[in-house]
Amino acid sequence: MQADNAAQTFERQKLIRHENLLWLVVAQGFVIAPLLLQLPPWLGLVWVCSMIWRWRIYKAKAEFPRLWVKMLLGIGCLAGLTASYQGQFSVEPMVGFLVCAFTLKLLELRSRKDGLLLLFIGFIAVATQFLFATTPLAAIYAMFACVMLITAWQTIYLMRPRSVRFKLTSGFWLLVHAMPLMVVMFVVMPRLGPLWRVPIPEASGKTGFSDSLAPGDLGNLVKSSGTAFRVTFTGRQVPRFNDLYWRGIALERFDGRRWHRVNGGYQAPLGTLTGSDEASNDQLIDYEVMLEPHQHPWLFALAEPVRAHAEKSRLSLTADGFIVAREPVFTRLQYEASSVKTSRLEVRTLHSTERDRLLALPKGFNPQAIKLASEWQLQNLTQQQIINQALALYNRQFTYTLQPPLLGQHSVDDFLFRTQRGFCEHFASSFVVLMRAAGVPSRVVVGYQGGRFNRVENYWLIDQSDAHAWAEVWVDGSGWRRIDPTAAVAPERVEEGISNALDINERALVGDGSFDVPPWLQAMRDRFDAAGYVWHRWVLNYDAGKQNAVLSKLFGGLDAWRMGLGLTVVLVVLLGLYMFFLTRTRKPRSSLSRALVKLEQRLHKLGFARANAESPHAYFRRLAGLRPEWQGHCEPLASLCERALYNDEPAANEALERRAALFFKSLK
Amino acid sequence: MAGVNSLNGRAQITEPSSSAKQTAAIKKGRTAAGPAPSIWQKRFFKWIDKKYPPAKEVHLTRKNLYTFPTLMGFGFLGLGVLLWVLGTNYQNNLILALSYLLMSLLIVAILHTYANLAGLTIKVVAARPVFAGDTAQFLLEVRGIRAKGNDNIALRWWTGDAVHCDFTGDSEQILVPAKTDKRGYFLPGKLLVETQFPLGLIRCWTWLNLDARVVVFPKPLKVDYPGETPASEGGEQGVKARGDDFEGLRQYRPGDAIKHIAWKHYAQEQGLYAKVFASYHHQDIWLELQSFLHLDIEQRLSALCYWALEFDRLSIPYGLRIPGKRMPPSLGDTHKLQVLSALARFDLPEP
Repeated sequence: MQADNAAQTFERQKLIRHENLLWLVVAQGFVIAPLLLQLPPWLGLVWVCSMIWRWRIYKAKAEFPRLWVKMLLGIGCLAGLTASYQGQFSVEPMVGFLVCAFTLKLLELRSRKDGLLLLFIGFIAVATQFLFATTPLAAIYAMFACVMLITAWQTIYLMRPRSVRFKLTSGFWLLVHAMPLMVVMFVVMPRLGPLWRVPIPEASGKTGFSDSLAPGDLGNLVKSSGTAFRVTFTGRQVPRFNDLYWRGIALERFDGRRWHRVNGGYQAPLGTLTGSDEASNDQLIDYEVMLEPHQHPWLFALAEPVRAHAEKSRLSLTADGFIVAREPVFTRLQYEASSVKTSRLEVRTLHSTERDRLLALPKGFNPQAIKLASEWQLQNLTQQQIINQALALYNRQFTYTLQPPLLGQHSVDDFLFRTQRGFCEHFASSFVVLMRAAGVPSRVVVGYQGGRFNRVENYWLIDQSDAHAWAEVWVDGSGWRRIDPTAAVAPERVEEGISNALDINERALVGDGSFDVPPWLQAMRDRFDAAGYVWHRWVLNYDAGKQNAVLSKLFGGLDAWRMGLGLTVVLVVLLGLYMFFLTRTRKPRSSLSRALVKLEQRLHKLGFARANAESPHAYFRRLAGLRPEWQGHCEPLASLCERALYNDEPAANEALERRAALFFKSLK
Repeated sequence: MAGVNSLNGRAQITEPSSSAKQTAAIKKGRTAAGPAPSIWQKRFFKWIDKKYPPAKEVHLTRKNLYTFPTLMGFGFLGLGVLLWVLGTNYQNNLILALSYLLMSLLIVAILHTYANLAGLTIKVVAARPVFAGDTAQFLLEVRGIRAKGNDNIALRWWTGDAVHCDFTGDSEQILVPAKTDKRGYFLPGKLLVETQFPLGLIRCWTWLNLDARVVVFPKPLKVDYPGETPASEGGEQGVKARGDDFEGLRQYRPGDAIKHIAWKHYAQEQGLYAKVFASYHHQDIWLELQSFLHLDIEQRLSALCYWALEFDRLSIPYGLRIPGKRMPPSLGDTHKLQVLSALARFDLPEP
């Protein structure tokens, strides 16, 4: 009989108690909530239904589902996911499947083991949350979810009835204890590249410009808000504001209306660095770019990039002087690049096919412009004179505007001789047409110009509204030379940024009106942006390169012995601290105040020790009898002790403290 | 068997230290059957015997506590590695951080689990004698409890069932059962003290070599009493032969014949008493091994045990005469305890 009971109670202990169940469900809710936002809504319904079912099981109104029911539910969820995602193999359906397993596990939640399995799935679910969001907020939320999971976990093993608050705090402390070690591991654990290819979450859509440009494209882009990328200059050389031309792509083929990008049309790198490495290193402009995902393979750099490196992607320098990644940028990408002024390069000569391509114009378009440029060519002007002629043309009567009039079939002619109102792409496009017609090899370059300097963390923030297009002409012997015809019309655009180049009405259109905010709000935005940037640079993009830098700074080098020693010391100190705080033997908590203990020690030294079983008040009474001169101190102390210890009066405790201190002083 | 059970229920025949008053404060944990020790464990115990001789009191420190991950712990480590692979493949530092968090949680769990046991002092207080085949309850005292308490600790004798309990306060007393098999001195073996709190990832345990023992009485064996004894038929008929002269009243005890209950006193609400009739058969009753020659020696002891209990129940003074031991007829709890102990120890060396 006795043994049966014992076995039963033990079995009960192995089962999930109602209280645990509640904790598990709550923790599950916290974990699932952010995922449900990314997944089809019916999964939420699955979760709610599982919860209701489990509740009914607990209330003995329903039974645990049989195997075939569970199989059916699983197959149903799979079918639902396949239907929702049209059978494609990507991250979302996999996360959906995980959530299904997570919620359906509720229906077979019986034993401790089931509970732990549920919690383990919960931790994976927290991790998948990071596939969709990596903001500091997401990280804080994940911490919170972890506290809930750990608390639910601990309740499984906690037999004593404790308050919710106690459980939450002890779960929280477990997490806090694990944090320092986590930070150490995060900093020192070696980073590896991807072990195999994985599907990446669906991007929300392409941003920035595309690989072709028609009049009006950039105007629309400038009106949108959003960050393109952030740049920190890491070297000694920092370019001036009006030299901040972030090159993205070169457009070399013109079809009369649109400019197109040409892939791989160059035969060899443009040039090689001249001079010794030492000297040239000094001339390098080093910077670190954090690029927002734009779903295109091209990256941004100042002219002329000579070096580019990223931990997370393979980058290459193209022969026409740009940086491209091997794959489109789907997640935020951080890369380091170095540029050098073209004058520092030993430039090769242009191949004839390359020259032909850079001079090609579609037949039958823009006769007026071609005629004008041909005249310049016939006048035997030098290349520089031709350029000057064109810029002078713009300087005369053109207007820089975000709202240019529509153009006809001969868009360049229309713009140059009729409307004369346009945005940067109009100027760049027409300028290149003029140049090519005049026999100067040239191309349109699209990218960003300028940016806003963030003083909080000293970096440049480049917005979509900084999008810009300009021209580059080939100068034999010195390579690409940047010509910005927009600067001839609206120098403010290049000197002070786009918002200062436009009139007040158009300014409101730029970047969704982000230029019309009060300064305090802008300052706040800068702070937030700086915090986010630090987070991204140091947490999200803490890679092997950064790790090396940090570790060599911490341990003074990257030698194995230094690392080993440093790590050992850190771990030993950390674990020692843990050990100390977790296992230190606490002195038995006495209800006596500290002053009283001190007083007692003093009296002990004077030869008036308190007997083993003597209560404090009896002790003071005895002292009063032994030394009449102490009576004034001892009598009140005795009565206060009585009141403090047995009546549990807080006021008496304070009085006791004072009295004891007074007596202690008088003994000196 | 009914007689034996009732005696068991009263269980006053125990050592003075575990009086009824103390019993109230003793913690009743949850128990469960534990597995039998394997060959390796036996070897391990031998090693423990050499290293730590049996002691009444053992302090749990890092020297005698062992920690190792449980199956769940390894599973959790696997989970951490899984997340690490996920984080590495997606080059997602936050997933990597989570993976490191789980791994450090595992390490922190080692310390927490260890701290749940370290510092405790476990002392054997007493154990009540039992009959062979019954479960002996060993009373242990636990001191050195943390201010916030020590949670979910399992205690189990090598041969017994586990008791799960929490410790709070300054000290706690707890009963840990062990099944006995034969009469004599019962040594419960090593005491397993184990905990997996707080996360069940790490098991911290120790096998304590405690100096615990209990006297196990022979299992009562109901056989007919041989010879011309008054209680030859046993049971209630035997009472008749005890004489007809009313001697007095005594407090009613379960098992007393209903017809001997002093109903008059009961009706006057003076309590429940039984009438005692003096026996004028002045033939002393001696429990002897020779009485049950048809049985083997252990069964004879069992039979004597049965009859000792029976005579005690019937309040017939009885003596014991076995080789090496002679106890004149008497009655009372002390006498019974001595007789039963003598039967338990018969022909056995002191351990």
